[in-house]
Amino acid sequence: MGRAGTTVMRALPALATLALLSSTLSSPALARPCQSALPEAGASARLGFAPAGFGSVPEACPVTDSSLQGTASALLAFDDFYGLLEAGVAPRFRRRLFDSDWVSLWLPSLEYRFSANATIEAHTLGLGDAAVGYHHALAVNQRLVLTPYLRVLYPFDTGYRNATRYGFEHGLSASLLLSPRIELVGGLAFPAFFTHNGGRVLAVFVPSFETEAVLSPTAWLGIVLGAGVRVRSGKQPGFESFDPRAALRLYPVSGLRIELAAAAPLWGGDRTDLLLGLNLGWLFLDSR
Amino acid sequence: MLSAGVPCFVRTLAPGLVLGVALAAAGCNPAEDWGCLAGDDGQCMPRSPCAGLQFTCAQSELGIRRVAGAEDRPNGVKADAAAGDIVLENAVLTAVLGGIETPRTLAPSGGGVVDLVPRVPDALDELNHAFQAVGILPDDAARYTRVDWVDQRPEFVAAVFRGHLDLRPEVEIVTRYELRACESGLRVRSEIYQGSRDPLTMFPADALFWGDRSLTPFVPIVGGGYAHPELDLETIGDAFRDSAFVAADAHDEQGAAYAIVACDSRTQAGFHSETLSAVGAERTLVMPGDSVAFERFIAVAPGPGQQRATDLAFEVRAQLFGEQTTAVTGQTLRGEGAARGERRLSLLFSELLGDASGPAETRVPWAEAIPDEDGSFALSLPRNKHFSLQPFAFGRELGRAMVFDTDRDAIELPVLDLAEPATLTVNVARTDQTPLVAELVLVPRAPTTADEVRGSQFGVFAEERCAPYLGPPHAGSPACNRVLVGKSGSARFDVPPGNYFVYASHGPFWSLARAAVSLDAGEKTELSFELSPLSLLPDGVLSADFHVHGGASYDSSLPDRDRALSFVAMGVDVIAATDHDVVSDYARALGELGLQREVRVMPGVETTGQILFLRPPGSDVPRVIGHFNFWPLRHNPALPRNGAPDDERQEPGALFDRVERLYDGRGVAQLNHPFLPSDLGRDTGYLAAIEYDPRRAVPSGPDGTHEGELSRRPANGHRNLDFDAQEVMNGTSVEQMLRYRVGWFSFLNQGILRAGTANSDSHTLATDVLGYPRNLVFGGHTLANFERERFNQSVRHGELVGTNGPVLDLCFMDANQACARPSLSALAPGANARFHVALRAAPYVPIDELRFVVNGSVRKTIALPPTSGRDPFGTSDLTRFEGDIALSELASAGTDCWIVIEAGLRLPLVGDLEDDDGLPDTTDNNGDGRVDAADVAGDFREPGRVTENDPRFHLETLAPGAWSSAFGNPFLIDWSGDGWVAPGLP
Repeated sequence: MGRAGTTVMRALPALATLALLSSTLSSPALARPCQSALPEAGASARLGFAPAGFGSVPEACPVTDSSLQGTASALLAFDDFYGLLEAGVAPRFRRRLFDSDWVSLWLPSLEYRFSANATIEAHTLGLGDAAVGYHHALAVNQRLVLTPYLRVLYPFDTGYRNATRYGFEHGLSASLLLSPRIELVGGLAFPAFFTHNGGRVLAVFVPSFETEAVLSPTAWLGIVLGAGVRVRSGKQPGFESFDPRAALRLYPVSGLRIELAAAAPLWGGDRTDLLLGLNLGWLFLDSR
Repeated sequence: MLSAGVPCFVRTLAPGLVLGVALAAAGCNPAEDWGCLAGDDGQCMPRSPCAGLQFTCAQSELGIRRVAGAEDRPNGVKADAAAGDIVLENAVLTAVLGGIETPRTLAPSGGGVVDLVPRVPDALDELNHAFQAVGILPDDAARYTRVDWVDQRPEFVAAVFRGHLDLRPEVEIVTRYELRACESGLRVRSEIYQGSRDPLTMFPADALFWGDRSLTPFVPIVGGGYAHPELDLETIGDAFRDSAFVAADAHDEQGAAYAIVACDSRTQAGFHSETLSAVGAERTLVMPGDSVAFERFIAVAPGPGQQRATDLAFEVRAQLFGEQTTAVTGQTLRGEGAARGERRLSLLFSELLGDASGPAETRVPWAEAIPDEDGSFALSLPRNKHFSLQPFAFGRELGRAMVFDTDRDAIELPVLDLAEPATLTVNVARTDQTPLVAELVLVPRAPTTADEVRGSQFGVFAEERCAPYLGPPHAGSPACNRVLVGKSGSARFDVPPGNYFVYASHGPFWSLARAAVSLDAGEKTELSFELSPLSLLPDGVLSADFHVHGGASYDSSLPDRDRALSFVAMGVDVIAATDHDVVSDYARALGELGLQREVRVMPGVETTGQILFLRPPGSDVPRVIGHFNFWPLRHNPALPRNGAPDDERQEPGALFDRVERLYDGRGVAQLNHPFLPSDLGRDTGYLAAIEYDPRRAVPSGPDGTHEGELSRRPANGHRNLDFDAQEVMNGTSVEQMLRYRVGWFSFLNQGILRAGTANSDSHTLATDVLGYPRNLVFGGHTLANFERERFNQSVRHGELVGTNGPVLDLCFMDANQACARPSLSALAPGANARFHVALRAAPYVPIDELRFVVNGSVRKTIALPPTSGRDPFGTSDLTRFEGDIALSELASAGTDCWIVIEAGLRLPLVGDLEDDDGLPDTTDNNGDGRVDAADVAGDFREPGRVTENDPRFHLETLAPGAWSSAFGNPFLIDWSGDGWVAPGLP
């Protein structure tokens, strides 16, 4: 495990403790940030750094919604004569169970991959991985909500011939309401992947931290600007990337969400040049 | 495309989520099936390949051992087994696998198939090299680091190579070569574990390096056979084809034939060309942590032709996939009921998808058969198909195709009664009637046209000059339209009926003889020629070719015996044997021919980097350093490449350091074809590779410029510039001659003094003719008392004239009348200093002018009388010019300069229009007396074939493309005697 990854791992118990302490201070009711006038509270930019949305901090506030999540990424490494294009679309669902709890479901995506090794090219069209998650929102105070979560990856990915990729992710989503129109969202995500191949496991752990400012000047518009940092341990450890990101959210009618998101990993071992996300969702507003 | 793999995850759904990892690990994939698919732990073992195969025989011989020495090397000039390699052997074949420490061709390590030859008398290994790769980048070739033996006799023996991709250490590869008793091939399985972080496209394949003129791949696909899509590395995806198998056969009768058949799939993917085939599994996007495998059977069978190898391929497919075949037998007769086996007669069997007269796109060629000595043939063909049998002779269709169906277990075809060829016997002697080793060249004459007798190998290796086509242009004599006459002075060979001129030649310094013949089918004709030496060469001069290839080169199929015979037939005195990456000496062949006294051969090598690594300034793709010749080297057949150095990933300076230790005496390093373009992404000329601009000065040290590359000392020893000689003429290309000349002049202007040489770069008997051009080496050398060290010293000092016909006898005369020959030594002129120039040539060599080049510019031209009226087959009237030219006519007193004297046909008007690189690339194509945009930039028109009335006709017949030219090395004029000062770039 790399030094950065180790540091993050050591910080995890402290953060969890902080979250638990915060929960003891919180009111039993749902925190105000999740009930604000914002069209959609506690939502980071929806991007696909890893399968089934792993590596991106999920929403911090409980709601029931369903959406189609499109993801795409491009990696063009001219010096290595290498290129990778990936695109997928997956149905996503969140179902609020209790005041502060919900489950999330990411169904297997329809996944397209194209890779060029110099001029030797191949592409696949198949299914991507699925994931289920459990999320519990903890109101720290009137302005802050922390949401520990756990997600498990189901290895649906048909891109594998002999191997199978498993994974899970736990982490902490957060939303801090700065003003009636501005919130800070983000958190920590600790995705881990285990690719099993005949008794050999390729383990990769990519902790990430991200924070984004969400400006909602009107009821139908959200603008997201922020950045993330990822490190990697396991196979080929090291600093993974610094990820500036932006998203534009439109709510043309009440409950309908259209989100366009983009990130550009910089500086680290992740050679991806650009990630794009497109989310078309329906928020069941009465579930808020 | 939906990929497989779904059933595995389904099992994980029920038992749980996170813990499903462990359950799936145990339940999805039984460990015993995994071999090395999960990566190489040093103990894993790929399973036995081609499990459904079973061959039986009475012989149980089977063995695995290390190559001990040269005695373990199989027959054949391409055989390269050396100490450290591994031999798998049964009663049927010998396979040699490269030792780990011995990289060959494009492979960064051993572990490939070096030799594969059937164990029958006189069978020759023809395989250059087969190795594993998953892509076209150097990163993607397998680098093996360990080999394990498995000796489970009497069941099998195997060698298991373990390693990783060359520049992708996280991608592991394990390849198992297995041999069983009785089997005519190797079972091979490669397992590749993808441990890198990103998905990677892989094309797991065997790369089979044919090298252009050796084995010819045959692929049974629609419109295929020996014809392949053009291979361009930038669009290689377009060249991929799926096929049932791939076969390959040699140009020589004794050469082995090969077939590669996938064992784990009914089809195999790949691309093919005369240079390279890659055969393997389909292109696959492999996810990190995943793995792929592929299995194949690499069969070998005796030649001639490939039918025995394709028979094996059908047998393998029958056993593995249940495909049925039909045994086809038949008989050929060549006129008057005579059975006649001959290499020139072959039978092509193609499945007809349309009617029999349909184009190639409606046929699937499945096999080619060559009848035995008695005219019979037998082979297997796929069952239940509609076939045509097309006979070929002299590279052309012979008669009409026969159509039949393979609807039974066995078919006997009707007798094929084919037209008989003519037979020509030619005797060549000196005027004293002693036999003379010589070369014969046939050209069609009216009413026979070239189109009527031109041939090719089923469309491959189609050479314009192969008219008449007497044999494969890259094989031994007869080749193309040429025949070698051996020491007996007589040659007998078949010729397609027609009217021909028959030329007899012993090189440009002997007389030329010609006869006209008319040959009818079945007719036997005899001709006799007398040739005599011409008084052209000054005393103490030997002619030498410092760039010669034979069958040991990956891109030649010329047997040693014919190559050695050609040295004498072309009248070359000294040869530097410079096969690609292998040291040859031709001692055995010359000994068998009894010609040791007629020629001196200096073992050498042409280093030929294949693995792209060089990054000159501004280069967006990696390159190689091009080709360099080194001689004399020690010839040691116990070593890999007979002692040639490993030249991969070496800059020239580092290579010079390395070769320094391998010279036998003091050596010569020669920069070959400096500006020749790259071939399949591999640079062939160093100056082109670094994009040297002859208008820019070479700095004293590397400065980030293209020119600065030359000053680098990559291993703190030699500079990249520290070669001794550079080719100014290579072969007969006028364009390349003019470009190399510009580069040489650029160096001379900068005081970078390198001997200018003229070499044939001959790979064949026919298309690039030995000794055209060649060097005349001055210095008082004789063949009888040949002193190699002193001779090479003359070469390094530039005591040379390069020529493809004209003989320049040059002297710089000062006040005391001493004659100083061209060289790289400075000359201090006295009063009345002058040049004495004698220009002689055989009567058939056309010469227009004599040129005096001073500091790179033509300062004086002397026009010479036309050659018309001279008897081209005579022996007199050889001197075209003799006289003195005062130095003062050429150079200003007091200013040092260099002077090169040239002779020959007028040089074409050229310009640098295409790319402003300082090198000529465009000729005056519209004939308006200037080279401009109207001539289409980049269109350099080589002088083509001319009619018989043209004075160039005879020389061009002997050396296709030749433009009569000669040049001397420089005279360096040091006026003050205090050291010659280079003039600098203009």
